[in-house]
Amino acid sequence: MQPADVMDDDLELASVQTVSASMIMTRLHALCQEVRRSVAERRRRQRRGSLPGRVANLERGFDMGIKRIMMAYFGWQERPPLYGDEVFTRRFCVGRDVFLNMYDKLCGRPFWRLDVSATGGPQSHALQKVMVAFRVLAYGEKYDRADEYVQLSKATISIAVHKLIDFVVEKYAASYLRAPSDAELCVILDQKKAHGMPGCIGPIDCSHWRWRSCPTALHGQYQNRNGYRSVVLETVCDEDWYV
Amino acid sequence: MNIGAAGSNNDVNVLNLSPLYHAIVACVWPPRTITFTVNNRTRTMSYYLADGIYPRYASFATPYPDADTLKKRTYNRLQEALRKDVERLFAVLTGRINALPHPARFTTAEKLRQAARAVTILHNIMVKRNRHDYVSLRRVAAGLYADVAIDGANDGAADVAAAAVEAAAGMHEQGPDPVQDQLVSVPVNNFVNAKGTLLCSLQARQNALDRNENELLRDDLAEHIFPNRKQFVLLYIG
Repeated sequence: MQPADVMDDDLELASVQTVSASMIMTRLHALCQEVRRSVAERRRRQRRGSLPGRVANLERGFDMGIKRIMMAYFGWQERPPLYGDEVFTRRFCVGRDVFLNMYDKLCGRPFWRLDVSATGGPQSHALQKVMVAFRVLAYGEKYDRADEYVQLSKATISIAVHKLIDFVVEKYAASYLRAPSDAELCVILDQKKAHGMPGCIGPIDCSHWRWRSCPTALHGQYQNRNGYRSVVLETVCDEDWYV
Repeated sequence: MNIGAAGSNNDVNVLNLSPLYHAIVACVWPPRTITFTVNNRTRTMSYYLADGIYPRYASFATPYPDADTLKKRTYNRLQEALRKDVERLFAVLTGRINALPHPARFTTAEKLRQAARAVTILHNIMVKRNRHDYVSLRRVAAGLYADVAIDGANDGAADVAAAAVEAAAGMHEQGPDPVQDQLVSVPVNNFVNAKGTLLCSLQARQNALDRNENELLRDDLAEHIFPNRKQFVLLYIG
């Protein structure tokens, strides 16, 4: 319940019942207190750390993480980065320019941006979170594997990965995950014609992605012929593996 | 790409679930404006290469199950060779993005689907950027530029060479911002359904799923490939 709503309701009540101003103020005060208490209670239930009665956060030292990342990939204090473009592309499966482009778009957003924590200190940098999300996707590692390197907790990394996935799909799906346009289709058909199959759009096939944390209730549905749980990816692609 | 069918489905069931199949059945896709001629027969229905388990529809070119003649075997060989692109794609995807070979730890299937989509998009972005980034192209452009630089005197030629370098660069530079890649409208050549009659769409559906047409297409392709088999198939036999 918003304080503004409370005030409106109470004023309405006042006009009907002609209650004195001091009584309204007392009631308003009590209502605000109640709202504040319920919000704090809800927070205490949802979150861990930095709240009374919870496990304390670790002193991670976010500066160290950002410094390491800058030294390795982007250059620190006018020194060139340790790893070149080629290594960057190989590790993160996107080029440095694509990475920085996405970083530029993300760094102002609510979860990603550099924020101030409840204690008044700075929280982790946006670059740390973007980097670690890419690491999880490109390295296929566990969420807390990179904790020692980028100095972020497992929960933060998990949120970062899911937010990055959502961002990528929302932003790029319309231009990078669609049926070919007329011009593209013509190119594909010409290529296939040169290979001796005129009129062919491309090969089609299915592959499986193993799903480890499949709920037990769905095991029967998702179990494939090789005896593990998986989800099927059905794909059409062209010569350059453009899906 | 269609993601998210449960693992217990085989390829045919996955196909029946996929939007691609529904587009084919509704005659929305592939566009019928494109015509091609194989063995003196002109067709409007483009097709996909599929392996033996796929149903015998007109929009799939499947291999001969009983390849007893040389002609059929040649066709099967070329079909396999071209179909292998998609098998290689899976290897490249899993090699590039190491989240794929590992068992996924997402709690819901929808999250997993979303992740697979994201991964595919990242892959596509990189493919699109590197598509024409062959060493030969760069070398040609650089060589042209070097030649002109040696000649020196002619400013006009230098401009041309610079333009060539830029053109070569432009081939693989899709612009600095991948998002600015214009959203190209997907062609919907839905002229069959545009008439709005049920009979028409039923007829079209029947055409798209015609078994005889599938066999005819296969025979025509075999006839088309066989005389030129040295050109087409020898590459893959090695």
